[in-house]
Amino acid sequence: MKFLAWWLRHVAGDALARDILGDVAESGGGSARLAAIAMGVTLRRAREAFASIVPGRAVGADLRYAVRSLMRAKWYAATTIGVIALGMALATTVFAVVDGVLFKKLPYPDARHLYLVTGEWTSRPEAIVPPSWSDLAAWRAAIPEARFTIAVGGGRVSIDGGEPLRSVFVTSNFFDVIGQRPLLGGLGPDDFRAYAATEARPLVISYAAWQSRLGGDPAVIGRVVQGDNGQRSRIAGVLAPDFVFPIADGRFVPDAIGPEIEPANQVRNRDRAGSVFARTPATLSNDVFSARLQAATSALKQEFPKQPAERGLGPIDAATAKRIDIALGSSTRRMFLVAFGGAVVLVILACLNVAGLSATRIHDRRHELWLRRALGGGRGDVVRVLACEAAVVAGIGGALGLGGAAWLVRLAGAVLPANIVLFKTLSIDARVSAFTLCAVVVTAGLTTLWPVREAGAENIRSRLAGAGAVRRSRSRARFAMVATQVALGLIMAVSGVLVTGSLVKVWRQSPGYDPENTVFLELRARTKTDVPLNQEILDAMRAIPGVAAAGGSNGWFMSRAFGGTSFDEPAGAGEVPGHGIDDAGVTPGFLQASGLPLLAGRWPTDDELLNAESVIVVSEITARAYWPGRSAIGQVLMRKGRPFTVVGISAAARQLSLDTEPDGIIYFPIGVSAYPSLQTVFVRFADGVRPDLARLLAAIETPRFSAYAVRRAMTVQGALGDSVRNRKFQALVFSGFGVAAVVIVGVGVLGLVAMITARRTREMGVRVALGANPSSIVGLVVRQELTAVLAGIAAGGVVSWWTVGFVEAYLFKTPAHDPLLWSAAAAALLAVGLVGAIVPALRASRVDPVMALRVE
Amino acid sequence: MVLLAVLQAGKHPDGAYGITVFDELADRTQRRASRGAVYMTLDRLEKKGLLRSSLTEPLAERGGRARRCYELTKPARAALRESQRALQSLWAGVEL
Repeated sequence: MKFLAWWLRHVAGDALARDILGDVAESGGGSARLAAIAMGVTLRRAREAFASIVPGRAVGADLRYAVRSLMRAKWYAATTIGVIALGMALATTVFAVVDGVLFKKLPYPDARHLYLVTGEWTSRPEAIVPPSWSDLAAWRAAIPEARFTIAVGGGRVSIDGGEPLRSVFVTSNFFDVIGQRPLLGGLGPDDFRAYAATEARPLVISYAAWQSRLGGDPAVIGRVVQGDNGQRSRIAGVLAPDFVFPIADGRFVPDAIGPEIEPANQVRNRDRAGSVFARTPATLSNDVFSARLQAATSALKQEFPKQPAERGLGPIDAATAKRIDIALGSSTRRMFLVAFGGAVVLVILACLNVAGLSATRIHDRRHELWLRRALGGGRGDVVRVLACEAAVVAGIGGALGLGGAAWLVRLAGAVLPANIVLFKTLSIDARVSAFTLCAVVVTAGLTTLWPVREAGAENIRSRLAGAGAVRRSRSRARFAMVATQVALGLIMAVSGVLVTGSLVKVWRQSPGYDPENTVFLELRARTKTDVPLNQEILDAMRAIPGVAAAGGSNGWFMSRAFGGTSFDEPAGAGEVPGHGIDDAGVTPGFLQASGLPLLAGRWPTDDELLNAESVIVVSEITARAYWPGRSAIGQVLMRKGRPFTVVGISAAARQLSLDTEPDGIIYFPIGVSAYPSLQTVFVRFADGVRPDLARLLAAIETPRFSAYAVRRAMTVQGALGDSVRNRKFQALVFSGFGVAAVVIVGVGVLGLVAMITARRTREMGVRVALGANPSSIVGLVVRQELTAVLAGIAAGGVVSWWTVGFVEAYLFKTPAHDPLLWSAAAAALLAVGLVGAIVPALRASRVDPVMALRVE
Repeated sequence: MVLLAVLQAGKHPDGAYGITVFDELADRTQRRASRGAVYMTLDRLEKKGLLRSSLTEPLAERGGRARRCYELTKPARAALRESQRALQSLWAGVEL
C-alpha cells in the first residue's frame, strides 16, 4: 500500500495522488483498487509521455503519406530502394561470412589461454615445423604450469568396410586442454591403458559419422566394430555437433579421434611429435609463455646440438606460441577484414547516394515543407515527415537486400574455399539479421540527417541571403556529393579490377599439359594394389566409347601436396628451384592421356613401363637443375642403389596448383615403387565427345575394383579451377564490390542529374526559346557533371594508391599499380558518370519551350 | 463525456468528485472505464481550464483527506452547448 501510494505520487503528482487515496479510502476499495488505479494512471502517463516524443498517430499518418508520396515518385523510389537493396545484400552476405570467421566466439572456453605451438628451422624460415618429442619434453620441464597435448593427423580408420574415417590421434589430455567435451563418452586414461594393452582401439567419432554410419544409436558407447583390414575399434565417445578441431587454416572436423600413445623416453627422441596445443593458467601472459618456450628450446639446442645428418631436420631452432584465435584462419582473417571494410564502404556509398537523391527531392518538395511550417508544423514535424520517408525507403531496401542476401549466402557457401575456418553455419541467422537492421537504421539516419540540415539551412539562408547564395551552396554540395561517390566507387572498382585481373592471369597460366576434354580422377587405395590391377582399371576405362586414352600415376595432382623424390641428387647438380624435385610412378597411356608435351628423347614404351624397367623421363626443370649446360638424355640417376637412365625430357608441368610455379619432376615406371597404387588417373576423350563422368565412375565402382575408392572426379579444367578456389572466392568478393560500387555510382549520378535537370526544365526551355541547340544543352549539363566525376576520379585515385596495399597480397603476378587495370577502373567510372549525365541531358535537350515555360 | 458526467455528478449531495464522476459514467454509459484514466482526464481538463476544483474540509472517512470537487467553467459549458446543438442538428429529421 505504501509503495502504491509512493508510486502514485511519483506518476500522478502529490495533489492528484492525495485525491485518489482519499477516494479509495472512502469507497473501501483497498489495495486492489489502488493498484488498478495506479496501473491506469501509469499507462495513461506513459502514453502521454510517449506521444510527446513520437506521436503515434502522426507517425502512422506520416508513414502512410510517405508510401503514397513514394508511389508518385516512382523513379526516385526505385533508384533509392534499389541502391539500398544492392548495398544491403552484399554487406549482409559479407557479414554472414565474416561473422563466422572474425566475430563468432571460438568454441573453446577461455580461448585466450589456448595456444598452437609450432617450430621453425632457421635454415627454412618459411616452413612451419611440428616440434619433436625432445622439444616437448623440454617445454614440459621448463613450464610445468602449462598443459601440453599432441594431435597427429592424417590417419584413416576403417570401422565397417565402408569409406575409412578421417582420423586424428591425440594424447590423453587432449579434451581437457582444448576444453571441448564430447557429446557422449570420451577418451579417459583407462581407454589409453586398454589400448596400450593391445585391446581394440577406442574412438571418439564425429556427430555426423555417428548419425550416418551408426544410425545415431544412443547405446553406441562400448560397441566394438571391425574394419575391412581386420582392425577392431571400440566406440568410446561421440563428438558434439559443433566440434571444430583446433588446427590452423581449415574447418576440420575429423570423422574420428583416437588415442596416440606418447613414447616412453622423450628427452632424446627427435621424431616429430605432431601438432602441439598448450593451455596456460590465466596468470601466465602470452609474452612470458613465448619467452619461456624459446628459452627452453635454445637450452635444448645447446645441450643436444644438431647432428650433420639432421641438416634441415631434427629439433626445431625456434618455437612460436600462437593464440588459437589468431592461429585459426590466420591466412584468411586479413582478407575478411579487408572484405568487411569493403562492405562498410559500400554501405557508406549507398548512404551518400541516397542522401544526395533525398536532398534533391527535398528541394523539390520545399513548397510542401514550407506549407507545413506555415500551418504551424514545427521543425520536428518536418524532420518526422522526412525521416518516415527515409525509413520506408531504407526498410523496403533492407528487406529486399536481406532476401537477396539469402540467395547470395547460398552462393557464397558453394564457392567458399575449404580452408576458411567458420565457427557457425553459414546462414542468415539472428546475428546477421540484427546487423542488417542496424545498417538499415544507420542508412535511414544518415540519409535523413544531411538532407534535413540542408532543408533547414535553406529556410534560414533563403530569407537572409537570397536565392543566389543557396544555389551556390547547393551546387557545391552536389559537386562534393558526386565527387565523393565517384571517389569511393573508384576505390572499390580498382580493388575489384586488380583481383579479377589477377585471377585472369592465373587462369591464363599454362598448366604444362593439355587440359581439354580430359577427366581427372583421384583414387585412394583401400588395400595394397599391384600393376596388373591398375592395368585392368585403365583398360576398363579405355573400353568406354569415346575414350581416346587413359593413364595414371601414383603422384598427387592439384592438391598442393609436394612429396619430394626418392632419386638421389646427381653430383654437380645446380640449384633446384621452387619446392625441389618431385617424382611420380606412371602407367602406360599417361603421356597420351595427360597431354604432357615431350621436348626431347622418347617416352618409355608400354612394355618398359609394365615391366618396371630402369628408364625415366625428367622434366625440363629437373634437366636444367641436375645437369646444367649438358644434355639430360642418357644421364643416370640412382634410386635406392638402382641406376635409371634418362630417355626423355618432358615440358614443365604444374602439379601443385595452377598458381604455383612448376617444380621439377621425374617420371618412372609405377611398378618400380613398393606401393604402386594409382593416385591420379587422366582419361582423355576423343575430340567432339563429351566427357562422361558417370560412365567412368560406373566402370570403376564395381566389386572387381573395390581395392580403390574414388575421392575426386572432375574435368581437368575443373581441377585446375579447384586448385585456385581461394583466388576465385577473393575475385568474387572484390569484383562483386567493384561492380556494385560502379552500379551504385552510375544509378546515383543518373538519378541526381535527372532530378536536377528536371528542376531546370524552365531554364532549358528559355535557352531553347532563345536559340540554343540540343547539342549545346547536352554539353552544358554534361560539362557540369563531368567536372565532379573527374574530380572524384582524381581523389579516388589518390586514396586508392594507398588502399590497394590491402589487396596486394591477393594478386598473382599483377602489380598493385598496374596502369592498364587502373585505367580500366577509371574508365568504368567515367563511363557510368557520362551515361548518368548524358541520358537526362538528352531528355532536357528535347524540351518543348512552350511547355517548359508553363512549369512553375 | 467526462464533462457531462461532472455536470450530472454535480447534482449529487456530495458534489462532483472522483467517485461520483466515475459512478455517473459507469451508470449512464453502462461501460466500466479505467478509474486511473478518469482521474487523469479530470486533472487534464482542469489544466486546460474546462474544469475548476475546490477542496472540502478534511473528512474522517477519507482518512483525514479533503474531497476535490469539480465544476464546469464557462468555456466548458459553452463547448457542451455547442456540441449539443451540433448533435441535435445532425439528428434532425433522422428516423432509425
